Parts: sequence; structure tokens; C-alpha cells
Amino acid sequence: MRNAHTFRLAVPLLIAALLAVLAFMQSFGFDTVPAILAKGLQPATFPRLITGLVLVLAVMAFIHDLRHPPESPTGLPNVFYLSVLLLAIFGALVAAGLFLLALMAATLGASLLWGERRPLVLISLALAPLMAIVLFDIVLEVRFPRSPLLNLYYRWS
Amino acid sequence: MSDLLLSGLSALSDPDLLLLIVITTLAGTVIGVLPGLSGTTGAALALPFTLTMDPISAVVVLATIYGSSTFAGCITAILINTPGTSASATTCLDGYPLARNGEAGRAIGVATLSSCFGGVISVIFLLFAAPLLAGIAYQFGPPEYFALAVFGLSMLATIGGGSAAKNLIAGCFGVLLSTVGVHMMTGVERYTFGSGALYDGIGFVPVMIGLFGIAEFLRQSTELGLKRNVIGMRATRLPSWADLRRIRNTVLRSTGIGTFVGVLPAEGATIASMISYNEARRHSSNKQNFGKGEIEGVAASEAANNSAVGGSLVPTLALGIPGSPTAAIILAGLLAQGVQPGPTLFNEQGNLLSALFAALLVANFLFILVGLGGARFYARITQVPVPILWPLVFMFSIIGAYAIRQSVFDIYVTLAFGLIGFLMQRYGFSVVSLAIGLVLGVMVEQRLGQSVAMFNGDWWLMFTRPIALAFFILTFLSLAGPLLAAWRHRLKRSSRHHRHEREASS
Repeated sequence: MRNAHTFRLAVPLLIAALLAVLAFMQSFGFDTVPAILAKGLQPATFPRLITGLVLVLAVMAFIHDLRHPPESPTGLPNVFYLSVLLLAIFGALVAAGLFLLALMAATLGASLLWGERRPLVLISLALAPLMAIVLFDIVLEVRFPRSPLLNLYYRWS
Repeated sequence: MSDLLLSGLSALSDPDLLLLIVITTLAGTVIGVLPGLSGTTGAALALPFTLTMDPISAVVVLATIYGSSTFAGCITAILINTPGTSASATTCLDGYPLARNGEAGRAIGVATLSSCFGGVISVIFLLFAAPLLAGIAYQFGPPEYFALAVFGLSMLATIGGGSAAKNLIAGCFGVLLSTVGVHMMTGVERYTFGSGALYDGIGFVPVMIGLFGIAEFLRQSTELGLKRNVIGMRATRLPSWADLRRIRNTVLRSTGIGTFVGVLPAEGATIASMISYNEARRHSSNKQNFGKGEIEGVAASEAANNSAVGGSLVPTLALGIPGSPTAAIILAGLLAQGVQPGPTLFNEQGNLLSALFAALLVANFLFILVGLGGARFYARITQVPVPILWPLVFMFSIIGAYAIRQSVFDIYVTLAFGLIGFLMQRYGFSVVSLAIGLVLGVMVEQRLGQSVAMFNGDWWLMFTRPIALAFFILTFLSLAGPLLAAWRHRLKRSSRHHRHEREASS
């Protein structure tokens, strides 16, 4: 039981240390430049310094956690995992070039997922991204990534 | 200084600027009262809007949102026992019990007046201290800036209540993220993995929006069943003379603490309010009432968190070192406008600074109108259902992240840091540390490189420079201070224990 708890404490710190090790190793792939260009530090020196510091701190944090164990976080509800899935679907739709549709689906989806059932509210939320995009386009002159729905708007405007 | 004050007052003769201050004060108040939406998120979301503005309007918008959202957190803290912002967490302790005893109006009145007083004093301090600090900063060379930035990073250890080492790890990862992209000095690619989107590095704003907006969106999904009941309130009322006499010393002390803590790099309103609350309890003759509805507790928390706003802008403007997470956004906003904070700012951008001072002063006086007149209305805003509010916040987060550089890649950065931020908070790593590490990282590396070059590789010569040495000593104290204090406490306890044993045996 105690071992399981210790392992749970160590996982986030192990991930941090692993990321630091990866970043440290990656730094060996950086080009070196002549000393006159480097102005005191080679491009790899500073990242190595920081990653080394992360490793030392990870060990310190682990020792601290062993002495003063933090409370284990409580379990997450299913709706959280579904919300993360929604973000992943949103990202996939954006990657597929469907920015506006992705945003409409995400606002509508999140609201539905979180318990909203009133049709008028859901329709308003689905249309909200369109209004926001028009606002950003007109006021801030932001050009959004082209997608079938946005092309219709840009052609119209 | 008097020039800044005069031009600040003349800036207020511009009706457009005044209108902008009023609108952003009201908007900042809405952000502040909505639980989960902090001033940092609000400023990050407002940043894209400021890009089309002139630098004066942009900085006024960001600073006013910062001030008003910090103030507004007290309304929900008192009426629904949920701090609108983390800086108002200590206001709940006494504000809510007062509200439950039918004294919500009195509590909000005291909170409003304390906030206004703390805010105004800190703006006046900002007016005098920032140019003074900027004057001193003329003597800073690369070693001093490096030492200062390291001191700023060391302060991350004390952010939040978690493990200092974990906070520092988060700060280090922020610094590491700042190295992504093409190295400015040498043109060497670092951590780009061949992706063109990473050549310019990782954008600060998408990371901030992810860490504070999307991470909070995910956190809200775990608290959907939470019910918030608004306590009824007839009207807010100004504190009585008896109340004023009772809170006078507390407000003065808390304003001093708040301003000082605000000036410290990276420390912000939340820590200021916690320290002030504890100090108020320590000095009060009504110690036993704290936590049960003590008006001094409300005054201490609110005077401190609002005075930290002005304080945090001192190092931000004078040195380019953010005094708080929201000040880091303001710094990003200034840089996006092509305004470089630092000593020269006071000579080159006098108008901008005077408008900033004026905006904060006006906003602080507007708090009285908002607090006394609009508290009931703002309390109703907190009843906006989570399934409506947070999908909209998500939408604005994504559009805001995209709008800064009009880059789809920034959307992915925002989503990724949303998830990372949520997991970091869950496992005790501070997201504020990551954000501030990202802001300070470039300065740390650049100044370290310059210092090493300056001393022909003999970097230890940095310790021979008095100002740099002073900052290194402060860094040591800020890191070792808590350990030394704990060790001293243990030593005292064991000597007391031995003394008792000796007395018992004799």
C-alpha cells in the first residue's frame, strides 16, 4: 500500500525528470558556433544548465514528498475525460481545415456534455463562434483559417 | 514625477480614454466576480483586442482589467463564499460569515473602501517609486539584470502553498520553453524539431491562455455538481465611524504589506492578502473573531490585494521583471506594442505611463461606485450556468490565442498547455511559475551570456559587483530562508522540550 503511494508520488516527478533528460540529450544535437559568435555561451550550454537543475530539484521534491506526503488527488469524473476527448476532436477538426465547424461543435458539445438541454441556449451557443469570428474580422481584422463555412462568410463579406 | 502626475491628470481630459477606463473597469469587475475567471485570464483574453489599439489605450485596458478584477473578487467571496479571484480567498474567511449574519452590505462596504484606499496608495507609490527604481536601474549592467532575474525566479519557490522544489521545477520548465526556437545571438535552432512553426519560439500568450483559461475550463468540468447560493443583501453601506476606527490600523498595515509584496518579483496579490490577513489577526484585539465574521479580516485581505496591483507594476515598468502573473501579461502587451520596459521607458514613453497612473487612479475611485451600487447586480452574474459560461470562455480562449499571430499552431499550443496546466495543478506544480519562467527565461539567458562575455568567461566575477551580489544574497535568502526558519523552529522546540524535561526531573 505504502509502496503504491510512493510510486504515485514519484510518477509526476519521474515524468519531469524524463522530460529534462530528453531535453538534455536533444541539446547535443545543437550546432556549436565559433567563440566570437557565441558571446560567452554556446547555444547548448544554458538549456543543459536548466535541465540539470530540473533533475536536482526533482530529487529534492521526491525527498520532500516522502517526508511530507501530499494528499493523493481524488478521482476524476467521466465528464472530465469526455471534455478532454472533446478538445482532441476539436483539435482534429481544426487540423482537417474545419476551424469554424470545430469551434461550433466544441461550444455546443461542451455545453451538452455539461448538462445544458434547452434547445434555444444550445442553438445560441452553436452560433456564438460565428458571431465572435465576425466581430474579430470586422473590429480586429483577424483573418481566420479558410474552411468551407468560413469561405462562405468571406465570399459574402 | 510631478510631470508624470500632471500629464496623467491631463490625460484624463480625453473623454475617449475616460470612457475606455469606465468600460474596462466594468468588464474587469465582471471577470473578477466570475469564479474561475481570474484577472490573468481576463487580461490574456483582452490582449488580442489591444493589438489594434494605440499603446496608451492598450496598457490602460490591461491595467484597468487587472485592478478591477482584483477588487471584484471580494463580491463573490462575501456573497457566495467563492473567491472570484484567488487573491480574495482570505476575504471568504470573514466576509461570508458576516454575510450569513445579515451583514453582507457592511462587509462589502468595508471591502470596497479598503480596496479603494489600498489601490490609491499603491498607485501613488507606483508614481514615485517606479521612476526612482528606473533611475537606479541605469546603473544596472548585464550581471545585475541576470542576478535580478535569478532572484525573480527564486521567488517562485514561495508561490502557492505547495512544495518549493516543485514550483521551481515548473519555473525551470518555463525557462527551458523560452529557449525553443532560433537562438537570437547565434541563429542556431534549438528544440524546433525541424518545424517552421517553432522557429520564433513558443508564444507567451497562447501558453498563458492555455494555462489559465483552458486548464480552468477542464477544472470546471470536474466541479459541475457544485451549487452556489447567493446570500441576500438589501444594500451596500459605507462603514460606520466605529468600523473605520476599528479597521484604520489594519488597512494601513495591509496596504504597506501589499505594496511591498507586490514589488517583489513574481509575488502577487494572493500572497499579499494571505500575509496581511495573518498579520491582522496577530495584531488584533479581536483575534478570537477571525474566521467567524471579523470586519478587520475583510479589510486586511482587500487592502492588501489591491495595493499589490500598483506594487507589482513597479518592477514590471522599471525593470521589465513582472511583479505578478497578470503583470507578466501587461509586460507581454507592452512588448507587443513595441514598448520596451526599463529605465528608458520613463523618458521615452512619459505619456503612456501618466495615462496608466491616471487610469488606475480613476479605476480605484470607480470601485466605490461599483462596490456600493452594483454589488447586487454583479452577484447575479455569478449565477450564469457553468454549461453556458465556460464553453464561451473556451471559444474566446481559442480565438484569442489564434488572433495574436494568426497561427493555427498557437491553437494547438493553447490546447496542449491547457491539459498540461490542469495536470500540473493536480499534482502540485504551480502554473504561475511556468508562466513567469517563460517570461524571464530570455532575459536570464541573454544577460548570463553577456555577463560571461563581459568577464571573458570568468563568470564568478559577477559576485564582485555590489548590486549583483546583493541580488544573489537575496536569492540565497529566499531559497534558504524557509529551511533556516524551519531549522530554527525545530531547534527552539527541542530546547524547550529539554528544559521541560529538566524541570520535571528536578
